[in-house]
This record gives sequence, structure tokens and C-alpha cells, in this order.
Amino acid sequence: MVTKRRAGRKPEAYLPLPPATFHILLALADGELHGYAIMKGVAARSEGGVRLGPGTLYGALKRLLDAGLVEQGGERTDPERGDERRRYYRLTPLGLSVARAEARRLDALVRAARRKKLIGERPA
Amino acid sequence: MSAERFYRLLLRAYPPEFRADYGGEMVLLFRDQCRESDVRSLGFWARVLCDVARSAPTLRMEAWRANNRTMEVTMKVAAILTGLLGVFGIANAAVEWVAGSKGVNEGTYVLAVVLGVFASVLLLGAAVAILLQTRWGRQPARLALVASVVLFVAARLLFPWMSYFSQLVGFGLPVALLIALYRPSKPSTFGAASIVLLLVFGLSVPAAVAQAKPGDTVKDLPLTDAQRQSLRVRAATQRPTTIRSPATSARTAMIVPSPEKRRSIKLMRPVKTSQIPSSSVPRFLFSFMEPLFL
Repeated sequence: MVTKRRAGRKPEAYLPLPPATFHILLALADGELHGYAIMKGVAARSEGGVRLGPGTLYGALKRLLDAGLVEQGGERTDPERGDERRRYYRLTPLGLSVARAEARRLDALVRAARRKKLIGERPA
Repeated sequence: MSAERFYRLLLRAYPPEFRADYGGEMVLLFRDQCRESDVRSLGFWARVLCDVARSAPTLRMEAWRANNRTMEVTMKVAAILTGLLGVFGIANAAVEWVAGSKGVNEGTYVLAVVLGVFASVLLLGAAVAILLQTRWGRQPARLALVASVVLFVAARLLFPWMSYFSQLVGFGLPVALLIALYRPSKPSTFGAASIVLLLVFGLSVPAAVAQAKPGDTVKDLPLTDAQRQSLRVRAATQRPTTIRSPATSARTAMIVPSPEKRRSIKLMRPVKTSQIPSSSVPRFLFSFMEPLFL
């Protein structure tokens, strides 16, 4: 669970991230998104493996906002859906650093697994 | 009832502040989900209910922790009281030692005093660590808990005539109370063990205090009900006088009746030796706890 913001914390101090949180950061790495777009992005990237409900999604977003990894980017209507005004979220520089640190950590784990021949040289 | 109205009802499971911030967006997102899913299917509602059941309690707990200043204040007060308890324990041990130094100090007596001082110092250390809110504050508290268990085992081996209740109350209760109040930030085995210890020690207090009442010793005497009642009333105002005898291996408490009592109760022997378990507890450990519960 991502804890509240503390001054001067290094990105590594936030690791390891819960899978849902990392998926949200990955989705926001593309740019500003509203809740529903984040949810669809996560479901598509994980091929349906991770399904975020409204409670889980906004609970995680609240923690990320409190920790300073994500910030609000204003309210506007979605050009594709074009109905109601939605709140947009985007990564902060700290959030981007944490996402990179988590990706490096997972990459090191995958390389270790390859060396142990637990997985193949190339992804199947 | 429409699906959206039902979902609005489900949102009441979340903390009010969270609902105020994100409730509108959650309803919007639910509306999007309804457009793309079969609202009449069981799987859809199972996912919705599962999402609420998983996220609402966690958010409630986080909101409670964020708003709860009462626990913090309680912890500080408890830490101050525990520190005072430690100071009183050390002071009592010093008084006991000075009083006992006129007689012959046996090995077990010396050990009892040393163990009592050790427990009091640990209490002081743990209380200071919590009050200072240091990063390593949890470590002294853990050490105090472990040390209290060690003290309990040592006392059991050294003083087999002591009752379990007295040992639990003397060594365990203050430390367990302190640890349980020093709420762990995450659920852990350590936190659960603290709460179990607190419950065990807490439940043993009334029993131990009941054993310690001087009036209880008269029930063994061959007296009439009126005489028992009279003795209980008088015993409540008289403290047992502790006399250390070099000839005995353990300390014994002796009730010395007043001349009026001797005259009124012919059947009673002039001196009644009491061997109730609590009277054999190092009194400096028990004396400062007794007024709290009597």
C-alpha cells in the first residue's frame, strides 16, 4: 500500500508497488486520463487479468494523490464520450520516477528468472 | 429500483469524506460499466459487490486512522502512567531494600528485588521510547515484552510458591498494556500476540486482587457468621503486617489482631499466619497496582 507523502523520500522507498497501483501508473504514463479510461487501459494491458472496479480504482487513486505520485489535471468532457465533465489525472515527476524504479525492479526479477531458466529467453 | 440507485446505496459503505470527493465520479464510472455490460447478469453484480466488499473496509480503516486523535492521546497518557509506574516500582524497591537490610537478606529475596527493579527500568524505557516517538521506539517496546516473559519464567523457577496470577499481574500486565496501546501500523503477529497477552493479564487482575483481600483469610477459621462479618469489617481497615523471618525460606504475611479483636474472638489464635499466594509477591510490585483496582 502506498503511504502518505513524506518529504525527501526516494522513489525506491515506495517499492514494491501493489499490482493495481503499478498498472494505474503505467496507464497514466501515456498522459492525462480520466477514471474510466484508466480502467479500460488496465484491463486491455493485462488482457483482462486485472479488473479494477470503481472502489478499487478511486481508492488507489486517492492513495496515489496523498503520496504525491499523481495529481489532478482539471475537469473537462471526454471528446469520445462527450457527455459529462470528468476529472483527469496525471503522473507527477515523483510518480514517474517510482514507476521507473518499479519497472527496473521487475526487470531484474525477470532477468534472474531467465538465468535460472524458469522462463525462456524470449517471451512466449 | 434502478441499478444506479442501488449502486448509490452501496456507496454508503464508503467513508463520507471519500464519498464527497469521489462519489460522483464512481457513479459516472458505474454508468459507463452498465452501458457496456449486461446489468441483469449475476456475474456483473458479483463483481460490483466484490469491489465494494474489498475496497470499502480498507478505506474506512484508513479514514478512521487518519481522523483518530483519541488513540494517540490515550497512548501518550498510558505511556506517562506506565513511566510513573516504573518510577514508583524503583522507589518501592529502594524502600523495601532499606527496610529489609536490617535483617538477613536471603538469595531469593535479593533476586526478587533485582527482578522487580529490572522490570521497572524496562517499563520506564518503553514509556520514554513511545513518548519521544523515535524511529526505533518500537524496539524497546518489543524488548520490554520479551523481557516480561523472561521475568515470568524466571520468577516461576525461583519462586515456585508465587501464584501464577500474581506473577502475571506483577510482570506482564503493565508491559502488555503498553504494547497493545502502542498500536502497530500494520496487522502483525506481534500486534495480535500483544492483544492476547493484554486480555490474559487483564482478566487475571480481578482474580488476583480478590485473592489479595485480607478479609478472605477469615473464612478458614471456625467462626460464626457474625464473627466473620465483624472480622471482615475490621480486616478491611487493617493491613497485614509483613514480617521477614530468617528461619523461613519464604516471606510470610502475618495478621496480628488488635487487643479488642482478641477479646471478642476467643476461638481465634493470637497470631494467624497467612500463606495466601499474593502475600508472597514482592510487595513493591503489587502495592502500587492494588489501589488501581480495589
